[in-house]
Amino acid sequence: MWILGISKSHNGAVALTHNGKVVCAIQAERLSRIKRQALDLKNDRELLVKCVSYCLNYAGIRHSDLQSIAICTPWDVDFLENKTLFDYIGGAPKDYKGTFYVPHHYSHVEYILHYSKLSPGIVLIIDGSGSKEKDRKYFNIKEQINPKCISHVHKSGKETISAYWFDGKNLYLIYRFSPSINRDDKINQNSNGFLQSIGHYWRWASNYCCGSHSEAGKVMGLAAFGKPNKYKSLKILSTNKDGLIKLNYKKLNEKFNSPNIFGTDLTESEHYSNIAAMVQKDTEHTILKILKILKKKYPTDTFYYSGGVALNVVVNEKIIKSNLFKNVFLNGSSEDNGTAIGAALSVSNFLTNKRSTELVTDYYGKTYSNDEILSAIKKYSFKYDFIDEKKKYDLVASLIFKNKVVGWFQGKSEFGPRALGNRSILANPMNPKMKNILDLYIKQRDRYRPYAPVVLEEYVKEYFDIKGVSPVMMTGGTVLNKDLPAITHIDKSARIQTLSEKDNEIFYKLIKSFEKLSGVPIILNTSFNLPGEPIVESPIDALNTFSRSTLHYLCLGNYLVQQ
Amino acid sequence: MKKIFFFNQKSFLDQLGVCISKNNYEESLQKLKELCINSPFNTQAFIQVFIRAWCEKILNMLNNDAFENARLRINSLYMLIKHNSYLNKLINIYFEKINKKEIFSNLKDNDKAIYLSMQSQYFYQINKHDDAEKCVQQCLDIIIKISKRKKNSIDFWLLLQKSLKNVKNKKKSEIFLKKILENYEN
Repeated sequence: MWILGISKSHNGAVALTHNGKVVCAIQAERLSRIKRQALDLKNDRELLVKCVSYCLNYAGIRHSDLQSIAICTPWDVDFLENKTLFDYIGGAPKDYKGTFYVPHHYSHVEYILHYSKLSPGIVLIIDGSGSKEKDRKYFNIKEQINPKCISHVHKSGKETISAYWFDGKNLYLIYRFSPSINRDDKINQNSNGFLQSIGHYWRWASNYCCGSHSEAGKVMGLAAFGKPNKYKSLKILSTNKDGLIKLNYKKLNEKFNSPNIFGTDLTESEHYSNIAAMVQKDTEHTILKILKILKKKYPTDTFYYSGGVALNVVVNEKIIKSNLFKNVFLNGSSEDNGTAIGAALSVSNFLTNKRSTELVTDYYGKTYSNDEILSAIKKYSFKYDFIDEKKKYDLVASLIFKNKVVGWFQGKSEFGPRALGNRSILANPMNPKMKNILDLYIKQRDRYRPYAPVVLEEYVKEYFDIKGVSPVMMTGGTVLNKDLPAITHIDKSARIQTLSEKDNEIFYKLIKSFEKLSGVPIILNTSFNLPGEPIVESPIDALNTFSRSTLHYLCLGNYLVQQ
Repeated sequence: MKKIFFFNQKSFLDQLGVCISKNNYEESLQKLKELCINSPFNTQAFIQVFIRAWCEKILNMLNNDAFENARLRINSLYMLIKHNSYLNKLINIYFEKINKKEIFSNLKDNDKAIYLSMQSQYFYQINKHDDAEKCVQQCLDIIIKISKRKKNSIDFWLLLQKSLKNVKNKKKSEIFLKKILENYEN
């Protein structure tokens, strides 16, 4: 059964599943080339058609083969007639089972469960905000609610935290925080539009420290420079014994009135780094408190976690190391893009009463052949060589070892926000000057932001203090080796990608070659994009970015391109 | 700054406009911050209003031959804004207008570095790449000199990032980068 999932969101995406397995997924930004591209079904027809075609062509199927369309949104639900929807997919399906509207948090849940072993456990979703309470009546995928559910739901609310008990087959809502979005309500009178939401707390911090709502990752990097207890007495974010959260925007606005609206470099600013550290600490504290409340009521060793806030690898590390749970499941595309997959899987589960699982991955995009790559290269005037598959790894590893910065374009594109070694910029992690080279010359980043390492899974414990593995770069740990300055953050931490041969054979071979030369099974891995751009998707995107960059080399499939 | 319960956005935007028309830079920044605090979801829109209004004001200064005032304001914007098309256009107009006027030699080192970085951008934009490289070279020399004397004189990092972008020849830009890295300590 082929099901198309659509995330109508500020981070729009389309996914295709077949018999409960994810076949293909694409974020709208990768095709529109506009970072964090929204996908609004009524106004973005052309882009939606492109995303749908991308998925159908990948699978080699036609619109007529689709049996259902699943739609998820954190915005208002607006119903589309079949005629309109079929227009997007290219025509009417033959055996259509219907269009399904899936609650936002529920989509996140189905997506994270897809990577589980279906063990009973607690599922937690935290993001900026999801479905509106007023829209629940419209959903035709319904949630089951545990009669003892801890409910902090306002009638004009919007879900910001949800927790479910998964019994191995069915899901039951056990906690929901759905604060009012009504601006006239007392709780919102001093919030300037921000909700009672941990995700919005980060949006506030992102706006205050970096001048933009979507820079939570920067704030996380900045937090490592700050003193987390500097503003502890303010008690900005608090949680009571029933898990009711209160975020005091009045105090925030009274205390902090000098936003860094132009996003200037904050490396040496105590004010902003202390704020970032406060938000980080508050988040860790609150999430752990909620988990303790939930675990007391639902004892389990298994925990599933997703939603935009789950991109915070420092919190994830704290959860893993808290020993509250033996098994912690995290997915890479925990932002709204992932709900395209989750919505499709929800419908698959609903229609077949069967939930499938896979090993966690984010390689859901297209592979481009050497012929396609060559045809793209010929449009430019770069010098290029074909390199034999056997020589490719040693050659590129030697370039990296010689401190060249290399664009690496191989295999399937990644779906989520992380470049996991298929659309990456790679560099030598041992070079003490490498971070400055990347910051100044290639990525044009502020100095307070760290670069991530990718390490061969079998060596991870030698180099990092990390519990378990991190195949989609969703947890961090302390760097144990002093010879990795380019990937070691100010607090000695790193956001780690662990890599096994099974995860990504091509990338594995490259790191293995680098290890032979350097003695270190680690490479610095950052996303293949320039400031303000989404990660590259196609060979043309890669060559365009390469042409505007100061990267030394670009390895696309079996072609090595030079500036 | 106190939170205003009934925030009157229109009134604050008007006040911002008045500050800019009076060439009151610090106060205009303060007004912009107040706008952004009270209406954070419009931050990017307010920033665009701020930049456009200042660009228009500076253009007006240039048209009235108030070159020193214009330079001071362009400097401030250049060191605040990573990239903006209005500012880029204004920088071009500035260098066209001040053509052959003796400005550079009277500047202090900090201002010389900013001037050279802006000038390198100007030359880059009009495809005079050799001239752009010369400006970057001189700019880096000054930055290195200042950084040895006073570490935090100007925001070196932003200026280095901005200047390096104006070197078209990637081999040369790499030479510049090496020079910076030899002299720059984190």
